[in-house]
Amino acid sequence: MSAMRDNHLAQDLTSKDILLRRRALSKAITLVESSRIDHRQRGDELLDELFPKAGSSFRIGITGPPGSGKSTLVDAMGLMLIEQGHQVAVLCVDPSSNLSDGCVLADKTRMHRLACSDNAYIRPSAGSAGYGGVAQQTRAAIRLCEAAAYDFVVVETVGVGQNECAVAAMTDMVLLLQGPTPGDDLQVIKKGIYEHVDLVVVNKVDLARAAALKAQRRIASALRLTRYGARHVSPHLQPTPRVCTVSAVTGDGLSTLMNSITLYQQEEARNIAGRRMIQDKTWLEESIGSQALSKIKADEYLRTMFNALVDLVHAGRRAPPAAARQLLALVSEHPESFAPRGQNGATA
Amino acid sequence: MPKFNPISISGDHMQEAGATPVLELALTLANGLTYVKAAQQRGLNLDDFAGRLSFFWGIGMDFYPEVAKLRAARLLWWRIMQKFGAQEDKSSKLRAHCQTSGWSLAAQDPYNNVVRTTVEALAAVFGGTQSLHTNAFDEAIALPSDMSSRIARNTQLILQEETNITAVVDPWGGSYFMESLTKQIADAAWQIIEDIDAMGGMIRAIESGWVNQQIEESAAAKQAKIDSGKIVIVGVSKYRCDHEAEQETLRVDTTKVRESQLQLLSDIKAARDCDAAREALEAITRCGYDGKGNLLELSISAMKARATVGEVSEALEKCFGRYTAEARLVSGVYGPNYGDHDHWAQLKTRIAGFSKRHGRPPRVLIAKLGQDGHDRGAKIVASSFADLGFAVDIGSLFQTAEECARQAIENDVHAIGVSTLSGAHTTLVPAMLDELKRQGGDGICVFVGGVIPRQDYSALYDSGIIGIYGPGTPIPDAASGVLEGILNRLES
Repeated sequence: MSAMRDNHLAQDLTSKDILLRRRALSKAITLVESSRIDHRQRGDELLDELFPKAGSSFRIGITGPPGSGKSTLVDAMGLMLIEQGHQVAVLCVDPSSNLSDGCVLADKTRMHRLACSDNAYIRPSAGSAGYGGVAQQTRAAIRLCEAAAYDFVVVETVGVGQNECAVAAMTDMVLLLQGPTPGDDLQVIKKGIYEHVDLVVVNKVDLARAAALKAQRRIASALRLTRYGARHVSPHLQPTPRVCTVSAVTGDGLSTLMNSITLYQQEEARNIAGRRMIQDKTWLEESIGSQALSKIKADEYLRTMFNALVDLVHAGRRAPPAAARQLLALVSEHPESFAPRGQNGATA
Repeated sequence: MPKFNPISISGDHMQEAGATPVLELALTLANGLTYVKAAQQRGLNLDDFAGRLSFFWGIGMDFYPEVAKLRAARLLWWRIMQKFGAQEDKSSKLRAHCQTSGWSLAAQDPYNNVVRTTVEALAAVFGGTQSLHTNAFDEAIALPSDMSSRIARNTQLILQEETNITAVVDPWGGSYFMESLTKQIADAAWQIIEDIDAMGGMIRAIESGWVNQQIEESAAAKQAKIDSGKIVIVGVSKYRCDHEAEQETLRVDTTKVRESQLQLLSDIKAARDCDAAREALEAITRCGYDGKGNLLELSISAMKARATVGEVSEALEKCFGRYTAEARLVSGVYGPNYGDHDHWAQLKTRIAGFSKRHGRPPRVLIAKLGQDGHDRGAKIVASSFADLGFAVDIGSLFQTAEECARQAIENDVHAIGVSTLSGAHTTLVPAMLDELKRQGGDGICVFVGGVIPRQDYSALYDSGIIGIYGPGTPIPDAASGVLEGILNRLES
């Protein structure tokens, strides 16, 4: 029955009827985010079927500290893109909140205009423990959006820190947003976050124009310094990112920002293609790892062994890499434990 | 302009949203001094306008602190105005209006509210308010009826004309207890004002979400104390009435109201000189962009050309954008303040069980529909549900049914909680259900919270909603009911 239902889902997801399409996309994303093995299997199959239809969007990651104005910017950018004829999907990812503990999800209140547009789709998600976590789920969600004919996918995430790296590993371009106040950017320079960023945007130029312009110059020179050394070592490194100033509220600087994005798309077309190939290979590798682990946990014997090894590691008597090697040796001795079986097991 | 009241600097809405008297006092005075600075920056002379500023306090049930708050307010405002260098006496005098708390009124056993309002009114008078608003006893159930409004007015008249309590200025002055409480409250509020100053002022504090967070934390903590019986509300958390008589309430046909308002608008637009109105509106937008001219003056001439409030706002919005409060919610406040740990833990376990069985936690969208900004209840439900293990989405204020249904479908939620205090539930809830059906989300459950008269319950239940949770419903009861409703829907 579920196969039939999903068949429907695949059809609806590519339907011309916007209401059907939107609902199907939502259901499909729920499947790939689920912690239930049977849901994920259905989600994986659905994604597999739709995969040839996916891949045609431009994927942009937008990140920045809380209060830097990400949602307001996405709202303004999204509307401009729609005016240019694009279909825009926005995935708001909050890796810091964990679904299983209950959470308040990123809200759409600052994307009100975009949320009402027929050519946009906005979906907030929380992080989730296990099964590849948020990275694999977001990759899958991006492809589902693409299959549903959204040709511009925005992944919005809070952060200054590790998230930039994760977002860079699933998008074509990472845009870092920050406020005009000095200190907003100092932290960022210190942490080396610019390594993963393709465009820096200083927001709120309407509130503090002079400060914003100063920040722009300061960041640009810091970037030249950090990238200068790196480029010397690796000539294939992407060029120094541009630094723009905008006001997401008034729209000041927005068209320059959009031009910079288009320019990046054109100039970096070859790099983007290469980046995607690396990303997909990583996705495959990570999927193998996480699926192997969930298979191990689904088998009674292997799960017992796994838990015993966890205890030994906790007790300080075994080192994790050697313990893993031992467990994998058990898997190859007992190939039958990896055979397909019932689909209803929920993971721990 | 000797008799012009430029602004009423309000703390009432903050107390209604959950602020304690101390927090209300501090935030309001911090707002006040920000206005003063802004006026000075525009070149106004302090003594020319300071005497015309006025304040607006909410008065809750905690009697002594409310009296002390009004006394402390005058002290602190005087201190602030001295720092600004006020010369005239009038500039340092704080004038205030007070309103008894609407939030303190209960939907259960509502005649008790007459007593509550009286006690609150008394605190306002003892505190030395210049003017007073008393609430009607049925405001937790419906919009006030003629009868309840009359009693509210008479409450004031009785205090004023039968009791002689207004014959004395500051009757508590000199009481050791009251003087020391006043000092405590003044010191605590002054500390907050200094903290805000260290943050870079009130505007930054608001923008950073800090102010909202303080208010919501205090609201969630209070609700948890009520739900667990640590704070007593007679007829709600203790001494409940077994057989409550149904209350006669004012009935408003919201569809008719809406239609007649729309008719009025279109009549005005048809009768006015459209070019003049358009030009006046364009002038506002232009001034917003280039800063040349006076927006207030231009707004008045636009109104004289019969531009509507909506049109003037729109003209301003073009250059300034629209402020949307970020629905960043507090978490982890309700749970620890709720006393009955076993009950709380049990509920958490049930929700964790749901998440495991269904591959994700129960996901709910908490929505405010229609023209009604009272979101204290919605926010407490959202934040405490999240504490329990729900995944909670929040809708924007003033959402339409269509937008809300769409958000619910895009986020693939199990249920929508509609909070409404404007009396529009009889139109909004059916519109919500219709929209869900139209957009293919008929699997999504709907529950309702806010001010809903008893006599509307059966019609709402008949339309297919899973629960109604009026004021006074303990959060765990609502959570458990919603969970039940979601499970029933999933199984059928």
